[in-house]
Parts: sequence; C-alpha cells; structure tokens
Amino acid sequence: MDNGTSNSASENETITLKSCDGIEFHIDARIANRYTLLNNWNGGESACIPNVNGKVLEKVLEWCEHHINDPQLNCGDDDSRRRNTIIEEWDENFLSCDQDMLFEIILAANYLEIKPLLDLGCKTVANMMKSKSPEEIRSAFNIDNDYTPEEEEQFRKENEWAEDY
Amino acid sequence: MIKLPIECLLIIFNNFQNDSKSLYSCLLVNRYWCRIVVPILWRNIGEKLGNRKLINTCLLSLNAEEQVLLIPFKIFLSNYSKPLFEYTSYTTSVCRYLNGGIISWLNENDYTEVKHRWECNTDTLVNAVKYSLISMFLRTNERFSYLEVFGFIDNNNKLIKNLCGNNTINSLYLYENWIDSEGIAEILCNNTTLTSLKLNGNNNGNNIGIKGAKALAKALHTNTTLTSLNLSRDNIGSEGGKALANALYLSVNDIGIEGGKMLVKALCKNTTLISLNLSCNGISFDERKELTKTLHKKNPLIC
Repeated sequence: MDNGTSNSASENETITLKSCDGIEFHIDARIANRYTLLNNWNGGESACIPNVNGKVLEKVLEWCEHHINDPQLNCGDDDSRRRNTIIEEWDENFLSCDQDMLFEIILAANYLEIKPLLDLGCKTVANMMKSKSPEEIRSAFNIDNDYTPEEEEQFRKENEWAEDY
Repeated sequence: MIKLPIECLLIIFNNFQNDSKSLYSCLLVNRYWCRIVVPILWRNIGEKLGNRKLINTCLLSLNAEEQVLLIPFKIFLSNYSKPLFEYTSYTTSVCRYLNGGIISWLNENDYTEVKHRWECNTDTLVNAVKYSLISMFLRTNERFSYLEVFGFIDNNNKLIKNLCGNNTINSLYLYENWIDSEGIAEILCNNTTLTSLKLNGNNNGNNIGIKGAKALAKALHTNTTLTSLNLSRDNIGSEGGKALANALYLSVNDIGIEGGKMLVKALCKNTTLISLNLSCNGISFDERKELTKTLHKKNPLIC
C-alpha cells in the first residue's frame, strides 16, 4: 500500500488540465500522479480532458485535492473497496449537490478511473435508494416504468421472497 | 435522470448484496435495472432456501424431465407459467436449508393427502422434490460450485450419476444421506474440480464403512484436485483407516495404531495435503510424535 506521499512529483509542481469546454485548471502534479488516466495525459504542460465539462471537472478536482494524502487502496481489490463503507462527513457534504451533478461526478469518476470517488458516488446513490419502494425510487430518480402491468406483477411474485431479507 | 452505464449501476446495486429487500425494489423499477439486479439477487440464494416463496419460484424453473418426477405425487407444475428469467442460472450454491424450504412449501400448498403434515427430511415426497431441485440447479448453472445435501435417500444412484457428470462443483457436502459409498468414490474419479468433500455420517445414513473407505482410497489415487476430506462418524474402522492413510481429514474413525503408522508413511510422500485433522482416532503417543515430526517437514500443512 502506498501512503500517497511517495509520489515522484513534488508539492510545488503543477500541471494544467483543460476541460472539454476549454476551462483550465492548474493542479498539484501529485493529483495527476495518483490516477492513471490523469497521469497518462500528463505529458506536456497542459492536457485536455474530453467528455468532462469545467463545472464537473472543478468538483472532481476539488475532491482529489482534499484526498491527496489518503492512503492508496489497491483499486483492483474489490474486497478492500467494499469494506470501505463509511462515508466521511466531508464527502457527504461534498456530494450533497443536486442529483444531476452527483450523476455527472459518477460518470466523470468512471471515465477518469478515479475509483474511490466512483465508489463514493455510487454508495451515495445506493443510500438514496435504500428501503424505498420501486415507485419511490422511480419518482426520486425520474425513471419511467416500462413494464406491462402483467409483467410487473409476475416479476413481483417470482421475487417476493426477497422482501423477507 | 442521467442514464448511468451498466458498470456504474453494478457498483450501486452491489452495495445491496446483503439487502435483498432493496434489490427487490430496484428489480421492479424497470426492465433495464431488472436485467442487472437479477444476477446479483439470485447469486447467493443458498442461505435463503428455507423460504417457501423462493422454493416456489425455483420449482417453476424445473424442466419437463424434472417435473415428471413429481407427477406421481400429484404435483403438476406444468399448469403454471414459466418464470420470466432463468433465475437459477445465476445461483452458485445450495445448502441444507433446502429441506426446510421444501417442507414449508409442501405444507403451505396442502400436499397433505398422504400425510397430515410433512416434517421429515427423508419423506418420499420431500426426497423427490429435493432431487428435482438439485438436478435443476446442477443443470442450469455452469458455474455452480457449492452443494450441501442433507438427509437424502439416493434411490437407484440417481444423484451419484448426476454428480458424476458434473465438472463445476468444488465443495460437496453430503451429510447423513443414504448414498452408495462406492458411487461417491466414482464421483471422485470423474470430477476434476472438487477440492472439498465432506461425508459426515450418523448411525443410519452416509455410513461409508470399510468397503466405502477402500473405494475412496482407490479413487484418491487418481484424483488430483481434492485438498480436504471429512469422514467423521463414517465407521471406516481400522482397515478403512489404513486404506485411507493418505486421505486428508479423518475424524472419529478409530484408525488405530496400524492406521496411524501407515498415515506417517503416506504423509512423507503426499504433496497436495493442506488440511488434516486426526482427533479421536486412537493414535498412540509415539505415533503422534512421529506424525508431528513429519508435519514439521511438510510446511504449510495445517494440523
């Protein structure tokens, strides 16, 4: 396990990232070093990140900056990812944004392969669904029901055992 | 809502691995979510098989051949519509709670013509339903890996034949069943995935005995995958103990002095053993010392 402080980049080094809508961010090079994809783009003085707009990239980088000294988990280790189930207060406040932004952050974390942020975003969404009925979930996330009534009834019956656990 | 890709939804739903109720709600949201949730929900149903509603859905997954076995008992499942998913194709384990689930299902559905109330694991009808369901689980999932069968009477070696054709199971636990012990040895000869085999017996069922122990010993010469074997309360006797001297986990079998000596010799040659329990086997102090010396050389053997 890496404690996050042994990155080759020094504290004063910065690189420039450019969002898909042309907004530039000057970030601590150690952030780029932590995440493979950002690191791959860290070839020149500035790197362009397609698919992520300035508003979202700003949030993602804010999170990365706050967690710069976190111990680095082995990202391929699903167990250690799953064990990390408690959401810290700072993260909870950070993700108390509107739903569209939360989903944009998840998409960006997935695209940029920032797995701890991806897990955190997904856990936040899971918490929003927990103990809700299908109707409540549909209404909370504005999802259309494309089941026929007969189909829904049959799925309900075939899986109703799950309600007991 | 912004549509999340499948890999993100998988991470979200995997947060509910121990919360079937939330998974159930997600499954009913829409078709897209349903396709992602069903494999997660049905993967680990083993511990929940005591639930009669779950047994009901599993029974609807039986094919014609498996349903025929229940017709003599006036259980006509063909009258019901097939499930919308082949749910059990995602199930990787079946455990002993299956008995309770079947009994509860039979009582709930009033199959009480022959008997006032079903209670016993080995009743003919319970036995028939159990075999149909196990056959279905073995048939539907190519990754099925863990099977516990408890209190089963294997008429005509049906289960043995079925298991002989299986090459996915890695843990097979047969507790207190009435199963042909030489047939079990045959499974060991045919199966190339099995790593753990538990054949705990009692005074009636799963009595491996000397004959069965010898057959198992022979099978162990050809089997290269097994790393753990439990034969507790199987009455294999001193002779069986000697034959099984290179077996992996022996408990309460009265191996005796001769068996102990053979075990020491066998352990010197064995290269696959990782788990060994020699409790309650009447081995002398000197043999114990000899065994301990051998075991020290065989790191990382666990005793």
